[in-house]
Amino acid sequence: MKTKPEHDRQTKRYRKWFLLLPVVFFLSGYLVLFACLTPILDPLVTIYELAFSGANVKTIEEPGADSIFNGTTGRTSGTLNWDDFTFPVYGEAFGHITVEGTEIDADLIYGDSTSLLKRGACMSLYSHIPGCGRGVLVGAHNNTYFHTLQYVQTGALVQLDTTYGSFVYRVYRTDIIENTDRAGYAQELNGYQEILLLYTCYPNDTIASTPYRFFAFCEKVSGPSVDLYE
Amino acid sequence: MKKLACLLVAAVLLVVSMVPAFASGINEYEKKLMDYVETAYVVDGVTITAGPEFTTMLENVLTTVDLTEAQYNEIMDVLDEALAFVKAKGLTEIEDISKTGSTKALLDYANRALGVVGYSVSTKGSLSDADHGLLIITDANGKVVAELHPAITKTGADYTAAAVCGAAALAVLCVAGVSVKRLRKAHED
Repeated sequence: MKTKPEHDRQTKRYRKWFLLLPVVFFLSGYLVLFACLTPILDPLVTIYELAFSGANVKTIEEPGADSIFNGTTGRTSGTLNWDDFTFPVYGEAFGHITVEGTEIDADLIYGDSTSLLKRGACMSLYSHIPGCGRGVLVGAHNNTYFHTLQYVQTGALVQLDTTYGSFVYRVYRTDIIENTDRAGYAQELNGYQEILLLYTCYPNDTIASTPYRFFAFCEKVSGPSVDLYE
Repeated sequence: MKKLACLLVAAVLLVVSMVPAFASGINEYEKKLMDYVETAYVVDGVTITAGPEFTTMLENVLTTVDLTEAQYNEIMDVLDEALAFVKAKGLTEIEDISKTGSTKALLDYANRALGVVGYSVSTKGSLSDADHGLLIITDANGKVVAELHPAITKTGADYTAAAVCGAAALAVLCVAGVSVKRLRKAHED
């Protein structure tokens, strides 16, 4: 049996916790909610902007924004000198890519920053534009534009139309390579043969960021040559 | 006369500011610059090169300018200074840059060299981004010309943060339940 002073002390302590605990849980709850909602805050902000900032359909960036590509040129051979075409500017959609046997049908963007990857298949500036006779590195997200890349079969044709010519490549090899394994793709990327390297994160259904990439190596079948040197 | 002078100054400024906007193919000075970057950085008999991908990147950036002989010479002066700095510091590996705290100095050299054609280079956030090769090259108007990052970029979703937060929320709920139960028990006693 507790004495009265003991009981009073315990009641006091209880009251203290009665106030403190809700505050702690309230703050913790808010922190957790904030962290959980962070991935979907962007769309919420966009909705807010749509509702209150006066933005309209003309001011929203569509997948075709910054596009200089107006359909195929039909040019499938010959040599293009610098004066014969317009070199793409960073962030521009300068072409279109489709891959046989997959659902890949996307704009080709010059540059591959995080924001550009939301707009289509992105060409790395560490590679050459199609037609230079060198490696062409194109990547896209595995949950959007390249979500069916892993189903591509050897022998499938890749149609790549740009503002200056139409190119066809054929998949000759697929591979799963760790992103830090430079040797896995360096020869194709930096060699003196025109190889189109398509890649996306692998596997598709991972929760965490994966170090593996699914690569499709494609050889050039047809398309004009480009000479960047004056 | 004053009006004429104003017009002349305006015309000169206009022409000067337009120089970087003239895209062109790779001319002889740009080719020489690429050769220099690929072969000149020899420290203790080791040729330092960032790799052929970076030469390709440089080539792509150079297609956006039309380098003149004067600009080439100016850039070469900066690069020679940078080379002397690299040799003095004994930088032979990319990792040496951060180890010796040379990141900022090298970024300054890069900025001076790019400044010749009206471009600048900056990190995405902190200076340590540069150590990981995360850099942005912009033109005089602040428009992005190129972004440098690992050649194979992240092309997949990452729900790790959400999963961790979910687990944390569960933990908070468990702690709350246990605490309430203990408090009730103590109160009942």
